[in-house]
Amino acid sequence: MDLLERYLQAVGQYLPQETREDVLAELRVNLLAEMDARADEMERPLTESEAAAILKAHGRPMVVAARYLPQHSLIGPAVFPFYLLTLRKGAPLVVLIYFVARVATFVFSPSAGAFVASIATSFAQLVPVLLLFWGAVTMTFAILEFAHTQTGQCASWNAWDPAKLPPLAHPKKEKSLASRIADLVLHCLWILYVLAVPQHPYLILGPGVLFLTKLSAGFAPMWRLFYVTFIIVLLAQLGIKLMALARGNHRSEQPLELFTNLLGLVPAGLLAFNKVYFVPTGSAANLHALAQINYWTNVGFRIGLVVVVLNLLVESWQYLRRAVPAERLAF
Amino acid sequence: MNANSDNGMFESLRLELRRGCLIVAVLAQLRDEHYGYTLRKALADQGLAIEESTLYPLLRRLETQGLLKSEWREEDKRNKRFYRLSPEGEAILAQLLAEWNGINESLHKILKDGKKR
Repeated sequence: MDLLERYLQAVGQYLPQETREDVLAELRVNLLAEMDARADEMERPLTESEAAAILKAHGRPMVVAARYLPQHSLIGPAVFPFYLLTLRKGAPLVVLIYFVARVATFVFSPSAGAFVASIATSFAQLVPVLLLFWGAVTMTFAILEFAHTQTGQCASWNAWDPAKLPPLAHPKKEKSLASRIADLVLHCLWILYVLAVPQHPYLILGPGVLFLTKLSAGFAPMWRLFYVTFIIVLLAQLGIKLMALARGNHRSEQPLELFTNLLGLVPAGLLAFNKVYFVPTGSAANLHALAQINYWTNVGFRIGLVVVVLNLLVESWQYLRRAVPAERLAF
Repeated sequence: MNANSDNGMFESLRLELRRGCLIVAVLAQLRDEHYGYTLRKALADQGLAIEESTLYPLLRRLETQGLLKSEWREEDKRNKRFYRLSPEGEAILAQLLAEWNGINESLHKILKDGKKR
């Protein structure tokens, strides 16, 4: 019976001191009775391996001991739905606040290299921020669960008013044919306007053209590259709008729109990463004023890039929420 | 859905169905005094086999809840812990049996109605 005593000793390791002796004494009697009954059936004493088989069937010592302990859960079924809801609603908010807080770093970083590094660092640092959020929410709900089990009060968790339910959501209406044609016409006009800009810079800068002339400054070569990429994006958008109009089907339009918005990051990035937008055209140029203009223009474009990226993230998330079943997006 | 997942689902539903019934069966069987092993054997003899590792902790839990009372006593030269239904346990068992019969009747009615259609 050495094996039985070793088994009981192993179970006892996981039991609290105050109940250990009592539980083990009862377990010993029950297991001995089981072994005796088996020996009676076989009309001979049990071998070591037959006794081991009975103990094995009874269960692993740690698991057996755990069944004698009070059952606790970190977050029980009454509180769990609220815990999950807080995580699901809170996580996007935390991400938004985090990125807004990082905008200042993006905008005022000294160089394009540092700017890219700053974006990479921000994404890397988002992981511990989310882990911290998850940990804090889990701890809060574990405390609430503890209080809930101690007091046994759950009235406030279940208190709700049906009158406060949100109104019935109406499915988003598809754009009418007239509105899509109008959209297409406006887009064509916008392309014509952009095409006219190189010959008539005042269309973009307005009276700022006179100011540049006064400063003896002109456009830097980077604007040519920007202009070409911008026109490509506009033409891609025009193609999508024409395709959607021809098919009469709005469904495939959205992912393509998202794609062109992603393409739009290229010209936006070109503007944000360049630092020289205006160059002197004569010896009378006020270089200090020009440097200031270039600096603040760069800051403006960086803010613009952040807004474009955030907008793209929001649009992508909204598209995924509609296109992908909710349970696949749930965490 | 393959046979494995079917079996898994059946097993999980079967355990869920049995969980509540086991408590009623244990309380009912303990109208007569038993210690752990003989209780398990008595239940098994009547077609309700329960694993030792489930039954023995359950007895202690029911005792903590006041539904059972126990005493250590020597029998066949061994000290054994005998359990019996407490007065509170008897009252609860009566209520549980009434509930069980109600569920049983409803289920029979539902099944009968289903057959008629």
